[in-house]
Amino acid sequence: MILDQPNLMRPNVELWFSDFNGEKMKYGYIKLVSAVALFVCYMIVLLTVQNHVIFYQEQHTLFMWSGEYFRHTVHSVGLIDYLGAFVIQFYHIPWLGAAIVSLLAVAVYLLSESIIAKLTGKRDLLQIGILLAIALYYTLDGIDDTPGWLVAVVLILTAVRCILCLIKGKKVSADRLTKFQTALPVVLAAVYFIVGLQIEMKGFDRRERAMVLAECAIKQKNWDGAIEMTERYLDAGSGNRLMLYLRNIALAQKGELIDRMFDYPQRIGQQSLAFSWNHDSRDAEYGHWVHEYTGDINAAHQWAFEAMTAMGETGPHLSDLARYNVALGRPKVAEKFAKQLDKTLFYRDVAKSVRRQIAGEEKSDLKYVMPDSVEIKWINVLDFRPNVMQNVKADSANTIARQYMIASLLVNGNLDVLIPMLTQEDMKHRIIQEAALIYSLDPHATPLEEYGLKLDESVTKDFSPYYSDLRSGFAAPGSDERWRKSYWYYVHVIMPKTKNEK
Amino acid sequence: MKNRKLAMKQLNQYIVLLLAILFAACSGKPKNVVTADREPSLYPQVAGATFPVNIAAPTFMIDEKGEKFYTEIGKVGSEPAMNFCSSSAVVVPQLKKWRELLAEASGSEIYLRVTVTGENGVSTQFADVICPVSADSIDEYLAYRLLYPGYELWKEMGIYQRNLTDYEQIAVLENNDIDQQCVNCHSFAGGAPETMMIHVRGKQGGTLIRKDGKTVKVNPKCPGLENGSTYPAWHPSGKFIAFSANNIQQFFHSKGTKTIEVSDLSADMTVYDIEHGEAITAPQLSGDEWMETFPTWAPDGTTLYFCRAKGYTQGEALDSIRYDLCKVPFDADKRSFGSVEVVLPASEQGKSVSFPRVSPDGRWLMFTLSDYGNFSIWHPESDLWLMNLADGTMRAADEINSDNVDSYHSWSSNGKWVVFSSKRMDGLWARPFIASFNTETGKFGKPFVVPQKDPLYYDDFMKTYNIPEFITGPIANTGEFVSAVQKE
Repeated sequence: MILDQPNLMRPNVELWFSDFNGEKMKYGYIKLVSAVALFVCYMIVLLTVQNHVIFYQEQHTLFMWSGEYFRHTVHSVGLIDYLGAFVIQFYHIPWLGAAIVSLLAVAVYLLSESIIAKLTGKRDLLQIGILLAIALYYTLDGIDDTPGWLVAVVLILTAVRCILCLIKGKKVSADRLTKFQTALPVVLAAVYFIVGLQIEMKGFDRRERAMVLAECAIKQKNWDGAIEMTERYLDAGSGNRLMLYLRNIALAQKGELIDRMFDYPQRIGQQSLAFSWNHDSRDAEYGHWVHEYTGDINAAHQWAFEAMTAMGETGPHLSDLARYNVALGRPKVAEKFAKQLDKTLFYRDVAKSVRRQIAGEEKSDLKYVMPDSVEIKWINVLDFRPNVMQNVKADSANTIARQYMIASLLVNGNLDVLIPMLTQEDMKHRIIQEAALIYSLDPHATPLEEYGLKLDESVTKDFSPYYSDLRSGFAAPGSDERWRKSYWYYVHVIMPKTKNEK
Repeated sequence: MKNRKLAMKQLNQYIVLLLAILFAACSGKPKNVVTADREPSLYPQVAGATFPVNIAAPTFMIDEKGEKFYTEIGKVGSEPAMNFCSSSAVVVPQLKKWRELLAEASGSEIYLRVTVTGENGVSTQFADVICPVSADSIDEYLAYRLLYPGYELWKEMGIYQRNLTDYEQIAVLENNDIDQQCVNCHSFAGGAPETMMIHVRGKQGGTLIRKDGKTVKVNPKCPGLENGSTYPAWHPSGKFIAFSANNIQQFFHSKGTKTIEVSDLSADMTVYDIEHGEAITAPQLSGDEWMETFPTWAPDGTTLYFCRAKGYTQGEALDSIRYDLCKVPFDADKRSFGSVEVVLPASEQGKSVSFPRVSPDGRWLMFTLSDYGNFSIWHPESDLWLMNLADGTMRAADEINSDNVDSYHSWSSNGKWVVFSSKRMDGLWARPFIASFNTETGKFGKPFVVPQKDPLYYDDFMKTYNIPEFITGPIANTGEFVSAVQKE
């Protein structure tokens, strides 16, 4: 026995394999290295290229520590999803969730190796355990997947290993490992990892990742990050509705909506500012943000509630609904959502915060709430302009609503409504100058001076070559890159197509 | 052997310790109690509620501060039949003992006697909570739909039946089994579970009708009418189902505690002849002039009651739409209708009627009254009202109404009980409340929420109870509904 011949220079790790002879020791090292490599690979992949999956799954699954949740989940979606939800709750702290999943993968490997040894009396030189652990990765790498199968396999393997403990299995041969037998598992493990990574990269959806990370940035109020992510997506040539919508939200938060929204063609018109209600559960999930930020909390509540109804009780849905109901003066309803959050590991603090808000000990984090003086009675679910205009009228400090109001009037070409509402302060925005110039060209329009507005001479000067281009044909303005981000270009080239699309 | 003795000794020590903890926690009725003039606060509220002799035990939580809680339950004038001593404020009576107690107290009263020992060691015995026990049984089952109180989208929903004599709930039709399609508007002929219908909306949509042991899917839409059949009412003969055919739209309030307005933009009345598979209507029940909705039959089947408002015109203010209570004679043999008569011109009083339901003896008509519109479940001001059909007098059912929504209701088959949806507990989720009804005086007893095993169940439960309907027995062969939906 090795322990009979103490060697102080030997690393402590040998104690883990204390019943091994010298050859088993060598294999023990291979096992250890394989397990560590598996853990590290899982961690790296989950926390880098797959970090959006970690985020998305956590935001769309809520594990509750209650018997009712167990019964309901198992009944409606099955035990595998319940097990998956259990692990997903730890994704709230991404490194912790990734570490748990990685450890489960290591468990799959070690248990498989142990079972193979017990059943065959041979070492797992083909690294079937590694292969199984890598294969299981593909059951959890999509945004709609869960690590449920990984947990289930660990449980099954554990059960099998326990049963084998009761049965006298075969003893692993103590034969010397040849060089080939030593090299084979190392090479195979490396091949599995490389092939696995290649498969992962081949099926990798960069656009999906950009969308999820943009959503993540918005939720974390990382406005610069959201702008960067959405622009990266839009620069790839994809005109995605959600990306435009999220970008506009981030711009509005930074006070740059008017200046920068036309940097990307607003081909879907007002839909890039606020979705029209069209019974779409995916829209409902994101649609509440613009209403929350502009202070239409009842509208935000409607969208968020629809999202919860269609997509289930998630941490963000319950948190938003609790906050909205406090603001709407419905503490009992807010308390109900808080109670659900109490049953979770990582959203209890939100519940506490909601209760402090109900008790008046904490201020709501909702920046704007529609004042009572707003006269409008109904939410227009197809067009948010009437509400946002009333909101601005009632609360001049609501800068987000004001940006959205101006933006919506611009994208709809409602200049005769917009111009009388402007101040000379608004004229500092180049886009508004361009809009005002178009307005002033209408011979029937009230002169800008009557509204106290003055055009910048440089804008008028710039317009001259544009106008020449325009007169030479509609295609011409687009041929010059410098006009692409102008309101003129939007009005003459983009907006007519937008209307056609409608 | 030595080890075994040691293990036994340790086990004995554990048992002694456990008993000591138990006795320290609660050791019978406290002595030297002081009495309080008031009743204890119990949740859900059961104080004064009239219980049917066959109802499941109402579980409750003693909403008083204390370290130990001692509760006795018994027939008034008798020794307690049950007592509970615990450091927990939750009281869950055993079903068997509860049933024995109700059988003994049938026609008289029971008491709930609560003593609470506070932190300072002082024990306070509250005034007895007295609850009458009615000798009249309640229908054993309650059918309802469970869903999130959402607006237009849905994912999970289902129709369920609950045994009111215990706590068992069984699914009748869950939309998980039919590709998440919408299931709604379950309706029964006189509370009979074997003669019923359910609507299914979606790609395999239709109306499931169960009658004479068969379950079939039909389309009861009346030819010539713009809208499909919506709110149902079974004719007492079981041969017809009256439907309103509604074009329903939802509108959202910009502010305030009201969130949504559900309004008809057009509606007509039709009757579906099950035997002939044919829907009929009449000029006085269809057309643009009026919007007719919420049909209900008189028990003899000769009169159809319904709500009616002036036809909607584009741009009309939704809060100006108000419904009157109307009736029309119906000849089942000739399948013909008489002239419409306004029974209650509520719109003249600035009010609106919805959900009229006639009691099984035909003497009373219960309805919901709100400020406008017909979807009173979203109107906090909506209350239940009762009309004496013999003399036309009516009154608000104040003994069962609350300061929040009190809306959809149905009568038990013996007319001695009503179940109704109320949002009094939190303002958003409807819960089924039951109240006794004195058919002679027209008075209701104090209501109680349908008992659950866990007294805090309703605090946690995120689905709303929709269309609670009494049924006289369990709905059998529920799998047939899924098969019927899937049939083309």
